[in-house]
Amino acid sequence: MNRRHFLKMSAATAAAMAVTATGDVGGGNLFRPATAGAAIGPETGSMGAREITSVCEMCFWRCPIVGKVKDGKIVKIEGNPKSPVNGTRVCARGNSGVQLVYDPDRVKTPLKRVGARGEGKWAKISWDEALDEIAHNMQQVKKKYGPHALAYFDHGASAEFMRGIFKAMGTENFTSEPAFYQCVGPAALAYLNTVGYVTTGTRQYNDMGHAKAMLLVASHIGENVHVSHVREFIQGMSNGAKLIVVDPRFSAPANKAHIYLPIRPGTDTALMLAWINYVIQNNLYDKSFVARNCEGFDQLKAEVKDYSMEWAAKICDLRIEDMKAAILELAKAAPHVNIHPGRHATWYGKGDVGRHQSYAILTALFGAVGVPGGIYFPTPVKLGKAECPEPEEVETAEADPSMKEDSPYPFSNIFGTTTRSIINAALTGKPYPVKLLGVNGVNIIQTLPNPYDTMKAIKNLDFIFCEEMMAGETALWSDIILPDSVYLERYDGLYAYDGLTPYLTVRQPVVKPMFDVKSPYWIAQNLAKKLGIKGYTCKDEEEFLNEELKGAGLTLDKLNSQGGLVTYPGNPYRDSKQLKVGTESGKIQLAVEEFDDEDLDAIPKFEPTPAPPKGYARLLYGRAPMHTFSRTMNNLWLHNEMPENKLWLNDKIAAKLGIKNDEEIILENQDGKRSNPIKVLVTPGIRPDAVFMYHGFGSKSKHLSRAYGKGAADGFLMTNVVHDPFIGADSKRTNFVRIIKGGKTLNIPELVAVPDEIPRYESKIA
Amino acid sequence: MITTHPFHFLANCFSYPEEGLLVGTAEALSLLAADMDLQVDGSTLADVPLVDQQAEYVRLFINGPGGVAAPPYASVYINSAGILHQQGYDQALAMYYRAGLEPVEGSESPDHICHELTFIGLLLELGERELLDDFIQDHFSRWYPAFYERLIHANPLEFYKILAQVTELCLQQIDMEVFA
Amino acid sequence: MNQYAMIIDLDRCVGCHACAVACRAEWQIPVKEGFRRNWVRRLGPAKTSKGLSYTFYPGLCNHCDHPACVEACPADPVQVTFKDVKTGKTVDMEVAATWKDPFNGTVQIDKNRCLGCGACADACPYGARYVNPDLADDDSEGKADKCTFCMPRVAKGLQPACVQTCIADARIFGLRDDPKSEVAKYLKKGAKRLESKNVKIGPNVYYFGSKKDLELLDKLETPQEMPEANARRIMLAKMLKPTINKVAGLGVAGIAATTLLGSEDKEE
Repeated sequence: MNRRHFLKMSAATAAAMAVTATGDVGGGNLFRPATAGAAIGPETGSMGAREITSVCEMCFWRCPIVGKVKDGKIVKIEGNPKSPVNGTRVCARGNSGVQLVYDPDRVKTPLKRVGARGEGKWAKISWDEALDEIAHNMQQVKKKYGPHALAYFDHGASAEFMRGIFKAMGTENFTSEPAFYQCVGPAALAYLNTVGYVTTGTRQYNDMGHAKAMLLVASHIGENVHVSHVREFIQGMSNGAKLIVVDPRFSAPANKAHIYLPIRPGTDTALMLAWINYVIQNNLYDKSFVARNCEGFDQLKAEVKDYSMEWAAKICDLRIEDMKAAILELAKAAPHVNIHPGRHATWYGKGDVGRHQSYAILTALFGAVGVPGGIYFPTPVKLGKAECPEPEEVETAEADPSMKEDSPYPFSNIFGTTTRSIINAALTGKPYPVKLLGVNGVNIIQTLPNPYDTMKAIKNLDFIFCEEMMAGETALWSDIILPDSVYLERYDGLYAYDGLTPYLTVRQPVVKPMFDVKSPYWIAQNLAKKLGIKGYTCKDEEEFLNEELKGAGLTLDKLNSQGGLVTYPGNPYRDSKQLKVGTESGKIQLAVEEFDDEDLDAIPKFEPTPAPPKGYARLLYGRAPMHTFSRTMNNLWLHNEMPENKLWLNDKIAAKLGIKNDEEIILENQDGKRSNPIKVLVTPGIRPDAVFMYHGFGSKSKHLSRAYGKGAADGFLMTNVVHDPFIGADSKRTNFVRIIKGGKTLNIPELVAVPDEIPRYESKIA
Repeated sequence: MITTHPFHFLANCFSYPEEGLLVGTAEALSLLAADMDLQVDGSTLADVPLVDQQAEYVRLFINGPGGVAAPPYASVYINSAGILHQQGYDQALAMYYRAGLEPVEGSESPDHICHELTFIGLLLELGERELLDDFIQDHFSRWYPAFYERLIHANPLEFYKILAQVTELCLQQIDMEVFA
Repeated sequence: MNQYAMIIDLDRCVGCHACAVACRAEWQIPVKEGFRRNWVRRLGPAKTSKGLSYTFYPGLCNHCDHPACVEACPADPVQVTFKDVKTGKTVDMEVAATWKDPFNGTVQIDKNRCLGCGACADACPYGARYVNPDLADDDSEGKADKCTFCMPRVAKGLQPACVQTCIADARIFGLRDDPKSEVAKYLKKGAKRLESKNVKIGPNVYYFGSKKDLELLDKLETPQEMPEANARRIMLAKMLKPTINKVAGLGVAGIAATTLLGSEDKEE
């Protein structure tokens, strides 16, 4: 090959190119002499791979996993065989973590907005510049409006380190996990005040595997996949447990139910109170358990006496014989009966706490506390505490008025500042302005109802930054985007599981980080430096993990030599004769005086949520088993399993409207907001007064190449939000839709009459 | 080594546009295009504010509306999975090792177009004709056309359109001059 | 022969799709419409004669007793020695590029000799095969691909990838004709094949569940007719054969060497 003649290039060109030459010429900074050969393993599939134990984070259930690595690439994820909760199993999402690491749509480097907010015009910047910019804005906002103008929304393990920065800056608005106020908040409060501990929060202590009967109220375990839950549920079922499912929709577990009650949406508490009354009136409760361990029984008995089965049958649109058969099945199984709280509790605003109180009350009446099959007690795993991954404690001035302490929601301060208050403060400047938002691991535009308000609130901010793996809607609106490392690339804290078989495990990097991605600890540590915040003294994650493991008599190396996971004996059950729960009196509170003190109901009452306006059906939603919130829709494999959601529409309604299966329609809500086009699933498996869709689809972010515009987003149809009076959680089942097909508006006919006791929502538009 | 500059130069053009170099780069690119009988108005290439050029680079190659318009990685195109670190990545690595080279750890995947164009330049310098042939036939030309199509489909700034065309022409030139 | 078989227990299945994704991960199946070895279809909710049903169709190659795909393969037969891993017994058989293993009953493909013509995919009434273009070589535009019952994993003492990951333990894999196996127990309990009057080729994936779920599954997913072979495609493939024959000699050695528990080729 005659190199000299290669490319007929003029001298002028060569000279011009020479001018542009940087150190890169010659590829000296890209290549070096090889030190080893490329090792391509001879074995097929994932076999012959190196195995590194870690913890999944495709959802927040955190199953122990094994990452299988070949030639520096992660090729497969399996469950950690040592794990007592999932063994070698992982769900569809767990299996798809590989795709997350190697998705070309990942945020790869710090980005700075150079166009308008929402436009998606960015420049690449260095970590130094990005952190400088964030630090500068945090300081400016603090100086101008005070520390509480800073707020931080976070979700997931990687977000915890940065929370400390906000805390150290002196704001009260830093533990505002939107998830809590969009999900389990009301349930957590109800159980905390009834049985004295949070049986349903980050963890759930429901012993389905040993239950002889189970009640699920709209909980769709199996479609909502947390592997340990599904396994316990299936274990219970295969042991012969009787299953009662109450749901307006014929869900996956409804299909397995012995008795299915297709309840009118919004009337669950009516059913629960009628059942409680029936149990009391017919002496189906555990008298000795109640006498020994509960207080407020007489008050309860008096309060519920008018909730008859006949009345409830009318309110709930159920057959009285089915209702009776169901409660008798549950009573027969007592105390080994599981009244399951479900997971997502923020349905109607008013009454969400009461509904969960009623589950807890029925649990107590059956004596199903601390017994196999009922709710059980956690067994904490002993750990050390490392101070070094946190900022030094600083004295901070309290906000006056405080959003946290002077909240209109008397119980919200237990859990932090209500998400809604922070959004409102950004929108209205009251009670004080919120001007800077840090968002980490949560797509607030999809997650919070009424995204229009959220976008308006963002427009009012001086500065917003986010830390994200994929550029979702919130990233589109951010001033600075920091690339988040995928859970397979980083360390996090330790995972101590306090369920039936407690265990301790650790998330650790399976592969080296891709691109210019840093670990969450590194980011917090370096941002702290820029802000002059002291602390974060550990060199790296390994240092503080070893510190914490000392308390368990372990080191990282020791833990890894034991398969990355150690188990401990559990202590979930109690002798009912010596039961002492975490309430002030040590007794289960069938009536909650603390609620009464705040002029809220000590014992739940049925207050009907308004029925759909004429021509509309209630919008219901739920989780698809292969997706997590709106986070996984762009994952190649998961997208392939379910690329879009469909609208479940009652077959009789569809026939009347002339809508066929798989036809595409648009939804319009009671305020005239319209959805993306969505295909229809015509089915007898949904009541005629409701429609249903899986949540998380219909992404509005063009940056998610696969997910963009696929299916419809339930959140974008939620403009009527009712706040629960206890903690201010956002209601999500208080919106109504009708159908637009081929440009024509179709009113949904009313096939089931609404009883007079239930008011009707008044639509503001014709 | 002037004769092999084009591929290192092209690699530079495919990396993030930093301050100061834009005008000279645009001029050199239009001259190189002219050498390939591709008529370009050099001033239009240079007449873009740096911030727009950078935003365009991000949109096309890092994170842009509609997803990354044209991810510049072999792996995305070589098999149908469309993700990083798959066959295309394995192929590139294997070729680098065959040349006695390995990629230096950095923030980019070694099957990034900058690595691959640089590697072609290095093979030309080393006179590794057989390896060059294999690299282009069995690897680079298996993904570059698909990448090119996605890039053009994204309606890029003139600079990137010309860059993609010139790269294509330089490959043809290798074919004519080296393997003829 | 002791036939490998799989049970899918729909009473346990929750329709989570973990099986389909684990298979894709294990065998690097490209993502494209119809490209899969393992799938889940969501059925209903719909009315049946026994009430409402909302169930799932987890499907994969049935490794049939009388596989239509094997008959359809136009590749020239070559002689292959199969060996039973347990007894050491060997059998010589003339096989095309796809065959049914005489010892374990699995249906396998020799990727080296596959013409990629797709005749086998056309012939399968269950749609279990597809042609994978990522495996194209000089002689073909792709290779037929399907579930192998994870024979390379089974040979190492592992469960098939879909079975191992099933979060509800709804998949049971084992020997059909061993009365002590879990599979045999399910067969006794009445696990059903997806067969119809005109499609009776002995599928070895069996479905167990409530009557309503099995009724819906049968109504929606049991094939009613054997597909017609695409004669034109087979003819085209036959015209290609001379070039392939050269490779065939190599294929034999390759297969004989890998005839352990199953006889799957290396997948690259």
